[in-house]
Amino acid sequence: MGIGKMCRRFYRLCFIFILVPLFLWVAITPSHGAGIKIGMKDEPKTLNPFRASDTWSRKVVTRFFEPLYTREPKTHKIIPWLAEGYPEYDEATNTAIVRLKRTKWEDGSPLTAHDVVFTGSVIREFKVPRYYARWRFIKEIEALDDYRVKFVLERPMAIFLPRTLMTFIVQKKKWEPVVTAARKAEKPLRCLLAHEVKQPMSCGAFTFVKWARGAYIRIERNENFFATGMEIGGKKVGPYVDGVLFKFYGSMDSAILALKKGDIDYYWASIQAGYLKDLEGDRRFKVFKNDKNGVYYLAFNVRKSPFSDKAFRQAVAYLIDKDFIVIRVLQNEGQRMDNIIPPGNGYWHNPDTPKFGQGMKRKERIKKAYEILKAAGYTWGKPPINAKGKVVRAEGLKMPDGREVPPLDILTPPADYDPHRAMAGMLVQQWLRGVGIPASSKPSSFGSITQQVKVKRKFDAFILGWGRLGIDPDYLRTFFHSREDRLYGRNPMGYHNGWYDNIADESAATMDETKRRELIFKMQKFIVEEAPYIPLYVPYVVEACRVDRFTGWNEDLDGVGNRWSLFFIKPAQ
Amino acid sequence: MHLGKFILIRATQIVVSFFIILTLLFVLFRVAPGDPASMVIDPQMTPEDVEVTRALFGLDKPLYQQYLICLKNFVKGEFGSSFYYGKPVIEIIGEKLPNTILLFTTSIILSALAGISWGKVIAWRRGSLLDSSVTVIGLVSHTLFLPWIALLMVWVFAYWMNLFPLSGMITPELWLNPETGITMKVLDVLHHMVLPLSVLFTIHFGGFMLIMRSSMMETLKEDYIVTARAKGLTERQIRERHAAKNAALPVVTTLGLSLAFSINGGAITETIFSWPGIGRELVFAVSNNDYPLAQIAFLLIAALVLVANLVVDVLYAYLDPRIKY
Amino acid sequence: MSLLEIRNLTLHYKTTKGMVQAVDKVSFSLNRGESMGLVGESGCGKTSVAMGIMKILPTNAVIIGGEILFKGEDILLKDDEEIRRIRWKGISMVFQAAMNALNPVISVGDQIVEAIQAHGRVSEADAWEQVRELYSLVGLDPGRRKSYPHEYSGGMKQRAIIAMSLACSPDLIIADEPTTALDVIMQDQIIQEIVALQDRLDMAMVYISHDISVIAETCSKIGVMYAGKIVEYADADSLFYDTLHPYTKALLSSYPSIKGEIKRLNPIPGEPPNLLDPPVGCRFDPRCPEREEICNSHEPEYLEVKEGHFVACHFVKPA
Repeated sequence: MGIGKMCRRFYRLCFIFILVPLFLWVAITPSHGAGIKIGMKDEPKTLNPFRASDTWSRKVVTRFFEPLYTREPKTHKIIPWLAEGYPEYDEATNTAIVRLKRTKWEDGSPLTAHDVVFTGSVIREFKVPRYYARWRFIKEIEALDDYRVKFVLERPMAIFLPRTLMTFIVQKKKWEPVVTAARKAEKPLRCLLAHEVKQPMSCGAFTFVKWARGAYIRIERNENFFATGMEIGGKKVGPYVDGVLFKFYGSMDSAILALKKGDIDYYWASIQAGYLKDLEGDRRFKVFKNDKNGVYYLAFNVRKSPFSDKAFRQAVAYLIDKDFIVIRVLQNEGQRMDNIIPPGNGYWHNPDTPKFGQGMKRKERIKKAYEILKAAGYTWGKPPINAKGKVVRAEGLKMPDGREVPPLDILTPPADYDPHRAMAGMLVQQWLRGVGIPASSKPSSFGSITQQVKVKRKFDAFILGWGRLGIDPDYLRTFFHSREDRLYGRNPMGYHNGWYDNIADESAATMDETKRRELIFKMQKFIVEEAPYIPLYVPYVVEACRVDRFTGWNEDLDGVGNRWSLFFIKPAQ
Repeated sequence: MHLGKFILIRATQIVVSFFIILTLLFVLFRVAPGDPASMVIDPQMTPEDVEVTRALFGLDKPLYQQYLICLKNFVKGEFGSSFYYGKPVIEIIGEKLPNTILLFTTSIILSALAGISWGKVIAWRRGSLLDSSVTVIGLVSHTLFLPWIALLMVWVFAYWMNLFPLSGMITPELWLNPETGITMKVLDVLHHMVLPLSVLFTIHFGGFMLIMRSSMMETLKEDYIVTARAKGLTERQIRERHAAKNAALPVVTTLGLSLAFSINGGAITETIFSWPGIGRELVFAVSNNDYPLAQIAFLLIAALVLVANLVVDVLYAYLDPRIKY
Repeated sequence: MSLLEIRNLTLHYKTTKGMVQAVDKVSFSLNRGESMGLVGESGCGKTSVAMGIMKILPTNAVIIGGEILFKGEDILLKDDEEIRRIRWKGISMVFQAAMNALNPVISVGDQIVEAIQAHGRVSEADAWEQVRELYSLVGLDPGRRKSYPHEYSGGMKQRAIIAMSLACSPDLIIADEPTTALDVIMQDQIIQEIVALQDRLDMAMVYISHDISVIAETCSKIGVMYAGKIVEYADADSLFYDTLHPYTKALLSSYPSIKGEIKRLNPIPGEPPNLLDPPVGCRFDPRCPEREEICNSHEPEYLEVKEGHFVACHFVKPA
């Protein structure tokens, strides 16, 4: 068997392993790949812009593909980007003309109206998920000449500018053969999405250099970038860094160590509270805390009682101590939400929405909920407030029709997936039991929740969250519109309200921003009052950057990880 | 029975078990709640988009049809595309598997070699200080909590002493430099391997050593050891030729299966060391209901375990003449 | 000078319950070419004596005192390498085949070859040639020499073990119950074989058995062991026809006579003493049919009562 020999070989091997690092220590001087090093939690799945839906792919892909319009940092005002000036819209014919800047692809060829028409047509023809909805109402799209595109809309649509015209543009020359091949395939869309982009044709600030699977992605400054030198929000667009090296760190622990060791300059993900102390004391870093463009909420199945009763929902809203959740569960790394549109949105956020129970004490909440429920006809075997006005253990809660309130399950993601939501679920359970509502928090796998909520639509209540809401508030319409109460729909609560449907549709068709804003404000106030959702909280995006190496980070909604930061940061001297 | 016939029969069994496992996996993944399309929580996903995506994956068809398609493709050697990557599953596995084998299989081989040789020595010197101290080390190694020891080692050797890279498999800066030669690249990978390999070695070594030790202790009680000593063989001859060879037999079984299982890597180790292996991919695929990827990865493991079993059996017959098939 | 002389060998085993006094002041000697039988019930220490001679005792054995002189040199004082050279070449052993004396995963021939090669620079081919000769010598088909132990029958295995013990032409062979697990016919064949070989090759032999009838057939001298001690020692004739120790008498009457006389077999009542705490006086005292007061408290001396006839009993005194 030669075990002895193997053994000796093994020791020799160990010896080599000890020698190698000592040798490498001297030999390796990481000099190549100047620029900024950014850590990511996972590796992108694809560089195909039509497919890229995971956060990691998008972080890389959006470096190469630019839209016609974009939003200014901080103000979120829409500004022309590949386009020249704002679209000329003719209300009578629903026609818009968009003029293009004279910009170039990285290969030096001009980016023309034909590229825009091509991109739009591909999305429409293949019904590319996530993009088709914002292009389906485009009746006609036509290049008037190389730098003018004509769009004919079926009807006025508010999302035309902020969604349709903010779609990335791909190069026709590069994609035409792919699309032609896909058309012939058995499943054209599948073929298009499966296309592996090895070398993206960039019109953005960076060009693709290399992707070593499992290790890194290297991109370098695009010398042909059209926006270089433009002044946006008072700052001159760079990029001032030679390139970006994306590295992947599977765990927060190793990412934080990499930050501290200097392997990366920035970790593009929100850092958990536990790691902050370490970084906050380090002068090389600046810790940024910004609003996240999202909302975590408790939603009800309003198809059935007792959640079909607005009074009941409001009573629940009074019982929930959002501040407690923010302080105890989020450890103050977030803020309470009293609206679906986060305050960080700015323009579209209505600050004047009902704030159920804000500042109330535990006892006051129970009293308030008790009053609401009593007024709505609910009865108790033993009410939560006794004759002396003291809070006691409630029992036997009955609905106005005399039936007992059945046991209610609150679905939450499991603690290992999201401890915050699981914990919030536990708290809500306790608060509801305070007035005798037999609620129990049920941490369930994500798949199981979506199955019950979106597919079967048989559930009582659930706690989930929306992230990446975008600035345009059109989601407010889709979340509560009765049309979205269907299989896989975004209104799984089954909320139906004619008035809301009308005003929501109106908002979708209002292209005038000011008028639309009024409608959106009304919708926010109404829906928070109606409480099919109870917005709970939104965590901050907490990030740490090496400010001794790079300055000029653009703090914004969703943190410093945005295109503007990469345009503005300069190596520190 | 002839060995050839035995292998043939076992191979047939393997093929049958394989299809049973395929079926079980198919059912298990479909029974698990949630499908890859509906699990995407994205405000931009309209119900139509979800339907389109489901059709894309073939999930719109009835289950039995999906199963038949799956079987048909399988026999044709088409393993489908990952829902998540959109790429053929084989490509993803082909990308990640070598990395896993490089790290995990190596670690198993090294720890088995070390475990066997140490187990042998300490059993030989049973009762000595060496035996008791190494046994305690083995027990500690066997019961160590992997994330803890991994993070500790990273912190001490990579961060604090700065001897090794924190994580990953290569140094991008080095590989991006066109002047870097192949030797440097190989050394770079080795350099990155040291820490994870040491952690895995620490974790696995104890098990192998303890098995070898107890097996060796049993063997040393055998009469033929007394015979060997009476014959005037040297201690070394007795230990290596008479004791260790017999004692290694049960370890061979463990080793064979460990080697087979090693290709599923370890999600924890891969996560902590950001090692681009198959283990994390597998966990990711399962939690995102990426059936084709998860299915193939599990099948690959199943196949390897089945084959490893056969190899162990054959090897056993080779090592122990008493066993005949 | 005797080939082997054992003087006052005392040997204990360390166990969790205490020291097992397995061998107590055993003495005997053996000349070249002589054969001696060591007989006694199982657990009486005869195998410990044998293992002691080869120094292949288990690790928990402690030699308390005594000498084992082989060719005039004390084995107990030799270092490991010296002992190793004596093993098999000077003293070899015939193990019991039913025990796992042969390594199951090495071919029988290989196991003999390694013994030959351990004691001299012998080429592989020459060693195999010797194996072939040894096989013929013990009546085994040399063609089977590369087979594995499990491919042999019990008798074949025993012959192979005998062949192996002869591999280095030792001066002394210790046969430890070599026929115990065999059927009667095979037993007889093997015994004849051993006697013939010993005679032919002019080797000394210590034959260990619990079966006094087997010993009678093979040995010229016999030592009877009881509870770690030799209680009687004499040449075969004296022992059988002038039996002095009560234990030997009991032993003889519990076995069918080899001379063919038909009489009732009398098993010895009681059990051997617990050697963790042996009796203070005569160790046979609790079972002895002839015991008296003194046996309980005083240990009888081991004395030569007649020429070459040693006994340890209070009631047998030198003439």
